[in-house]
Amino acid sequence: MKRIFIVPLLALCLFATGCMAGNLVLSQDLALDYPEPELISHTSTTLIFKYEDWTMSHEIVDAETFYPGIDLSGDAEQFIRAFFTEDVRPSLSPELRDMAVKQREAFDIPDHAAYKDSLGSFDILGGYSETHGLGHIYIFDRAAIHHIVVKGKDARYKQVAKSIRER
Amino acid sequence: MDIYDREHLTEFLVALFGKQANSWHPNEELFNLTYKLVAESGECSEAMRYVPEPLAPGKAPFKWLKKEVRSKFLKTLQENREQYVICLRGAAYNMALEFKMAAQGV
Repeated sequence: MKRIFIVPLLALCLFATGCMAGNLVLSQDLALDYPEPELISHTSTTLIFKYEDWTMSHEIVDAETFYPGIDLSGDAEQFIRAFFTEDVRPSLSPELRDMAVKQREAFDIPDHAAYKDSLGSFDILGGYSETHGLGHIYIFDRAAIHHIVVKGKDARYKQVAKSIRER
Repeated sequence: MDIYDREHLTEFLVALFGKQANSWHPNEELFNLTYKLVAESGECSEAMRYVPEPLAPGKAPFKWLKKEVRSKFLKTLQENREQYVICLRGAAYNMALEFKMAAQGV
């Protein structure tokens, strides 16, 4: 009798929703549920989860190395917010404002594909580019800014965005 | 890639991505991504003067381009890296995950 329920449930989990295999603790307050990857790789700064047809990475934004040769200390949060929120741009210096606009252009994320959400008191900003098949998510945590990149289809991007949760 | 090509590619990638690129072994995939980065940026096309464009769709630049052309391309990038960093900064940041994966061989 149990099998009647378990088999369809397992199939649904594996093929429809993408069964979550683990949770990545991002901070004291935040975590990310992720499905079983083919491999996990760690560079000096970035954790990479590789799947058959998509990839996800996580890193903490480092204001001093965001762009080589430019120290964004003290400005990183507003700079990143300015990618997605035009109202923030006047608070930046003209040089940073110009760079933020150019970065948004490089993302090639149309306005309708920008992603804005919040978890408790933490803002989430980002967006997906069909052109590049790539999406960015920035989470403004209490003491750090998390940067998640999803390379793959839009549905994967949305799946990752929805799998960020409070803990 | 010969030792000079590797040096030129590494120096260019360090200018573009910072110290982390010092530990990246300059392989074919990193060359292909670098070519893609430059080719898709309309803003700084100086280096593209040294390559025959457009490449056939789906062709890997490393295999498609003659060695002399690859070397000239990399030397141009290395010699003008400060200029290229300015115009490629945004596109490079957007492609950073691909470069990191190529450097890791994943």
